Amino acid sequence: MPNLTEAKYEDIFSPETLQALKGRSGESLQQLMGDKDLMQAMRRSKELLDQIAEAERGHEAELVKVAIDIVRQVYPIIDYNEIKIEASLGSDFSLEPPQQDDEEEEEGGEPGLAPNVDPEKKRRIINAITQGASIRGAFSFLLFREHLDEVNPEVVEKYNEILKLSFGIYDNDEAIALMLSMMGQGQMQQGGESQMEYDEEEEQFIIKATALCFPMLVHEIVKGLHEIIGTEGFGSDREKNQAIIGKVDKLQNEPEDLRYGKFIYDGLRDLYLSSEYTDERSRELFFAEVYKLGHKSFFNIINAIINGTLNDRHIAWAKEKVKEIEGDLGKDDVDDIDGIDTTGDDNLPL
Amino acid sequence: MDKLLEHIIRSLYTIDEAYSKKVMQQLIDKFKQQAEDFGIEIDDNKIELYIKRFDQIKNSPQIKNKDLLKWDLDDLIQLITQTPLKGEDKPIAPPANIVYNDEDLEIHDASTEERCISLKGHDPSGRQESWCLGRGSFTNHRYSDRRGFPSYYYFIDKEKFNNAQGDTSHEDFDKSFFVISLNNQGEYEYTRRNNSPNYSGAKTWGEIESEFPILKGKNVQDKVPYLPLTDEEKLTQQYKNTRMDARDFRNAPFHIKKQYLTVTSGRNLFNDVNPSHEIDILLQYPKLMDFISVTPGIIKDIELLKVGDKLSSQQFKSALANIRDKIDLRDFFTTDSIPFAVQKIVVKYKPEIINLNRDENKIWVSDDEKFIFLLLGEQLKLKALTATNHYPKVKINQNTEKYLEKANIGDTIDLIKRVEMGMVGNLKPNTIDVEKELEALKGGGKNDEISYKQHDNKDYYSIPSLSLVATVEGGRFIKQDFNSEEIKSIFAEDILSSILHTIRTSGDFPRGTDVVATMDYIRGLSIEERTLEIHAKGNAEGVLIPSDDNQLFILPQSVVEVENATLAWYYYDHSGHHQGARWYSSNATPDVYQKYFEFLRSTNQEFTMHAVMDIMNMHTGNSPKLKFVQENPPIEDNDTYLLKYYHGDVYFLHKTDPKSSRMLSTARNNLKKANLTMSKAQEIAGDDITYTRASRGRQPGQATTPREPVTLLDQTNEDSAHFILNHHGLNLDLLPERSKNKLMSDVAIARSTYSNRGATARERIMNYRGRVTNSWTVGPSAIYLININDTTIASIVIQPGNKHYVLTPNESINLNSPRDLRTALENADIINEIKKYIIKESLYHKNKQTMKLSKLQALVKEAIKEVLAENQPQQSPVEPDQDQERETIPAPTTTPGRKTRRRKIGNPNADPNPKALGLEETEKEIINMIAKRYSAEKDA
Repeated sequence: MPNLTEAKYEDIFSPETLQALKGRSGESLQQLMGDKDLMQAMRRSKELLDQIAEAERGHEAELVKVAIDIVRQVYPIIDYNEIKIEASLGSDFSLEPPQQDDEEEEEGGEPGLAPNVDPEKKRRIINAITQGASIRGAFSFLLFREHLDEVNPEVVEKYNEILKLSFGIYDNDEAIALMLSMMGQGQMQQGGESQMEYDEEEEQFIIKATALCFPMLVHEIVKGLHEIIGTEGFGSDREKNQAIIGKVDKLQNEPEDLRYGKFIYDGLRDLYLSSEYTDERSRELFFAEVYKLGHKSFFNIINAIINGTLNDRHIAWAKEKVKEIEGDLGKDDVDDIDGIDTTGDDNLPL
Repeated sequence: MDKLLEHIIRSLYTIDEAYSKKVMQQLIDKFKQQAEDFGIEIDDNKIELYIKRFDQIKNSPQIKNKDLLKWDLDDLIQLITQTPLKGEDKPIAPPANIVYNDEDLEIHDASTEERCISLKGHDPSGRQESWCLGRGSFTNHRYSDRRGFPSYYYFIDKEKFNNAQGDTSHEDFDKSFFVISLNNQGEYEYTRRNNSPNYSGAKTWGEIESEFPILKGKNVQDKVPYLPLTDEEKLTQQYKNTRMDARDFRNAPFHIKKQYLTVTSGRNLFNDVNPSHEIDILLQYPKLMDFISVTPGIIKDIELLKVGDKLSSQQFKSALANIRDKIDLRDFFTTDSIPFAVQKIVVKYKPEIINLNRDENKIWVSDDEKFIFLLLGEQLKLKALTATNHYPKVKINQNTEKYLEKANIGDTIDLIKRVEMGMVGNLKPNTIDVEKELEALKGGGKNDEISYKQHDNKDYYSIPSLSLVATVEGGRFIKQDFNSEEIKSIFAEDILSSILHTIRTSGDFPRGTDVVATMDYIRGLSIEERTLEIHAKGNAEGVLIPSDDNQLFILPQSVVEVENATLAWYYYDHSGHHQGARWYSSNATPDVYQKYFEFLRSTNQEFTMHAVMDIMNMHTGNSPKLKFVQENPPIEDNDTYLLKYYHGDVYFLHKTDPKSSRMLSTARNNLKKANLTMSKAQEIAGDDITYTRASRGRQPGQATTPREPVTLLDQTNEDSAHFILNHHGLNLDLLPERSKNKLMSDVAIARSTYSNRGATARERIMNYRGRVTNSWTVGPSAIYLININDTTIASIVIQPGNKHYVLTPNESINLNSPRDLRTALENADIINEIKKYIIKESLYHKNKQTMKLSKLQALVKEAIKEVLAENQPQQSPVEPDQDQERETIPAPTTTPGRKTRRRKIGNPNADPNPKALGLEETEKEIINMIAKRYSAEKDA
């Protein structure tokens, strides 16, 4: 029997903090789903998907380009870090998962791991933020509806509705139970999938995303980006990292990550917004800084975000980090315009 | 008493005399006691009312036990509430619209939302009053417990109303039209026309009169009485967002039941009953079903149909007539939810309510009433339904055509589809309503899709686009072999015309097309016949190339139209479906590349090396690029580069300087520096490499020789910066000579704009208003072509020397000096976005040592102000290039390519699992466990 160690939310957060998350989830349920129950939502989703597939037919290549363009514009960090995007529309979800080390799991865990499970809890929260960011980011296509209107002016509203339905169901206990059961029976239709890879030869990250329809593709690409950012929460020991991933990055964790992650992401983004940023590229780099924090500091911020107890000290830290980041970004911008590299000059005496 | 006598008395004689006082009291006492014992909420008056009602209806044959003393209260309530009681069914009408009117004053009753909405636009000036009562909030006020469920009246002071004429600034406006409310505590409140105060607070009538003197002396207080909430209003208030329990509904008086159904119209009815069983409760009340059947929307149409066989004939007729919703066909064919008898009635008398999909053409009942048929024209088949079975695939042929005969399919299916159906099924033309059309064709009529020929005294009809042909013999279609040589010769011209039309217009091959035969046919055409004007490409010419595996590729006739390594504009797959060429991969098999390149050679067309490099740099997958090179495309001789495919890699070998060779990156899908040694280059290209190694340094005893003058490229060289810029409407000659020469000292190599730092940095500066569409490097220098609002300019950086220019169609602007910038902008006839871009780029450049974005933003604003300011200084001459030796020596990494970043994101030492992948077996097991856990918690 595989080791089923999970970093459960009940073990990560205090009952009060978890209750705060659940409260927001209830409000979100109403906002996203209205009075639809799961079956109604799934029926409607199916209808919408058919209509969307019809509208998108023949425009796939164009839509993939638009999706990539949108994400690049909304997340300029992609160009800055030269992250490559490989995206496609279709129902052939065939991204290959990394090899799992079954033997390690059967032995009951990675012996090199520290006795506490903080790395797993941290990873779980970062996974949740990744899911949350991708939900929020999926709606960014609304900023660029003029591109989509060229394809079909009616389709944008359908995009909006299908995203609301797809993500809204994760705020309902009963729906999650039913959904998991359906997934177990292979009945649950996936909207898409994404994966990040690191090309060691080119020293470049690659986002690979596939989805059934355009808005889900945007969602998957954003998820891929945040997956890359999320790796900043790991250390340099590759084996140890894979052991944590093996325990936490599980499909059955995703519904709750999707449910709660959006609120944690919202809080982290609000903290960033309070930092007086001037360059949007600093947003994802700021997230990376949070992920790099030690476990204690990391959970200090996450708990404060959820419970609404962020204080001046948190905000001052955010401002300082963003200022440092944007200083570096500015120097790189000058280099890019000139076509030269002055990275090594930073430490030269004046 | 003799039983017969008792029966006669009870059944045949109406006992007009009501119960005696004694019996009545006896019954009341009995039922009161039961009410008390069982906790039934019912008052004495209602018990008495129900007893009297029983007395009136007890002779109905449906009431078997006529002795009320033997009844329980519960049974009595259920009986009496099935039908309306005299008088209670009539809702209390609201008072008259105008409750008072004289020369000076008009008072309107405002006890319904409709009236308030109507009064909102009472002023003929068109003004809409601002009171909430008329703006959708009536119920919030009328049903407000806190406010004491007020009654409302609208008062019009006629003189002031006419004076103000809707003008809010008029002195009479505020008191020209006002609202007075009276609550259940006897308290008055008022609101003036300007909605201030919103509510005045409790007032006496005297205070009201003081506020509005028009009321004085008119004694209208009794004209505006308090109107308590009616039963209907109470019900509406109580159940506007909630539901009853079914047992409360059962016990409610009939008129309350009816009102409740009206209030909850279209919603689920009961808290404690599954919605699919609600109708079973309603069916217990025939009178209620009368109401439901004539009132659309009370319950869902589909629910009524499900119980159609339980409704009375009249109820069903009414229900059918009132159906508004479309009925899903699944409720007919995939479930037994609607009784077959009901389905047949719906199909016969109201087929328009059945929601047929696009491919479901007609539904009808067979003459013998044993079947309901659904015609699926596209699939050339029928679905059939009987009382007990469902047959999803009924063939249309000579055996089943009798069922089609009276279906009159001519009014719902296109002629072409009907003829196809006839040909495939060998049907009689009159079965499918096509005799007239066939006769017309025979008489010389024309049809774009159906052809007619007479051959050997037989009538042949063909649909070439479907590869179908049939004779009509003995009054019946007889299908023939479309691919026989005889048929091909008869219909040759029509077949060719039909196929080519479909391809030209990018349509799908019709369903049923024999794709293999079609490909064979195309292969048999000459290259001229296979060259078509393609609509989707602005009628540019395309050439058709079938692949060996019978897909059809449509490629540009002209080599200059080739957009990327997939070559094809579009193609037809094995099923004959039109497919856009995929930019990330290619379905074209190598033979397609071979045939196309052969075609190009036969028509003396070649790619330029420049075009091939562009193709390799396109952001597409590597697979088509490798196929492209492997199959040896025709390429013009090029002095600089040699294209080689070697051990799975694509090389552009620099003939004279192998170190400048480039290769296709398998990871990034564009060209990168090849880093070849001389020996490796010679291994790949052999004697085609003309490089000879120069001896290092000065030979002893030799004098220093002057540097060889740099050889400049000819302006007509397609790889030169001059040629490229000229092609985009820009003139390199506008640059200072020395900078221009640097750009002409080597060939320009196209670079992808994707993942190109110089390109993305420029787009960022422009705030994405302009896009870098192309980019080239010339040695260490770079050119970026930028499109802003359909204007093309170039941003050029010259290295060594770090000189920056913006090249517009009319001039070049040196960005080294703000003074030059100002004077250039004075004369530059370009759009603001370009100006801003130039300003920003210049400021970036000027402030790079102290680069801070906040400061930069301020500088940008300042510079724009300066640009826009009047009285500009006179234009200064453009500074000449400075001597190279005095310029900043760039860092060794100046060569375009990857540079380090100060901020890297992502940790290469982690490899997370993909999110939302398919389930592995073990995970399925885990998920089932979790689902059980959830379910268990839920049940608990």
